[in-house]
Amino acid sequence: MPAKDVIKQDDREETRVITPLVNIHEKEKEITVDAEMPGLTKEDLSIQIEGEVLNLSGRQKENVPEGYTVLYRERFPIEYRRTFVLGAEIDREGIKAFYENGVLNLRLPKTERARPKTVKID
Amino acid sequence: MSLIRRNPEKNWTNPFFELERLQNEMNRLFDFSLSRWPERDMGILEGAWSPAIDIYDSRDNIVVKADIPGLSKDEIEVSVHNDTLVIRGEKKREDKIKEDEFVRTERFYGGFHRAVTLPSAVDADKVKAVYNNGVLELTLPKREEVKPKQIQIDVK
Repeated sequence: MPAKDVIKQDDREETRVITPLVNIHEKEKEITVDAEMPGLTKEDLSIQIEGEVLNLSGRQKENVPEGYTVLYRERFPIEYRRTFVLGAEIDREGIKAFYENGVLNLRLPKTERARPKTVKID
Repeated sequence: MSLIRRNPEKNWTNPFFELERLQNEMNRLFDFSLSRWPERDMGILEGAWSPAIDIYDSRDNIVVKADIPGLSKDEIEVSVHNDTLVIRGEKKREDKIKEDEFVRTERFYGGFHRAVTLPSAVDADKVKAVYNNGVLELTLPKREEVKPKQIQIDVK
């Protein structure tokens, strides 16, 4: 999402851009990224790959429940944004994403070339 | 931020090696701290974490929402004592992951708890709790005696 959309006059006070906390693990065949992005639905999330760059973003749509007034607020409507550089080692076609319990799980398979090879000793 | 671990070989003939390393460290620092809330950052650095909450009020209910990503519903415990609400739980590490597979760990693990004084007394037996998409939503019905009463004015 372009920056100008975020600072639209009407929601400038409201939306906060947050860098989601991530865990990254490198396994034999894939790299996994777990990003904490609570309060979204699958539809609010966007994962875009442009060349070397993978962009994660998601914006909470949630508003105050109907008929309620706000007494105390720490969870502002949040926009999550984070960017990763993929590198040549990742097979872009095979990237998968899951969203469960507020955590986005990305699975990025390594290309054949980047996987460790075991050499047998004769 | 790059997803691949890079371990550049230490090369004393490259005068920029230390500079590059310093630059990487600086980038890492900025990755971590920019655009987050200062007060919550401190919490993470000190190893303490508690979920962010909202409290909403209506005539009949109080609604409390808390961002608690990555738990299952059995790992969260909610209790109400008079007008104090306590949310506690424990975030466990995934034990399937081997140590040498970690590239980066920013997520918080361990026990947490958050106590909130509610604006009025609630009926502890009728509290409803829903955990969805990493958000815990509690609906706490107010006790009859604290609800505002409408008084009818009779015109004679």
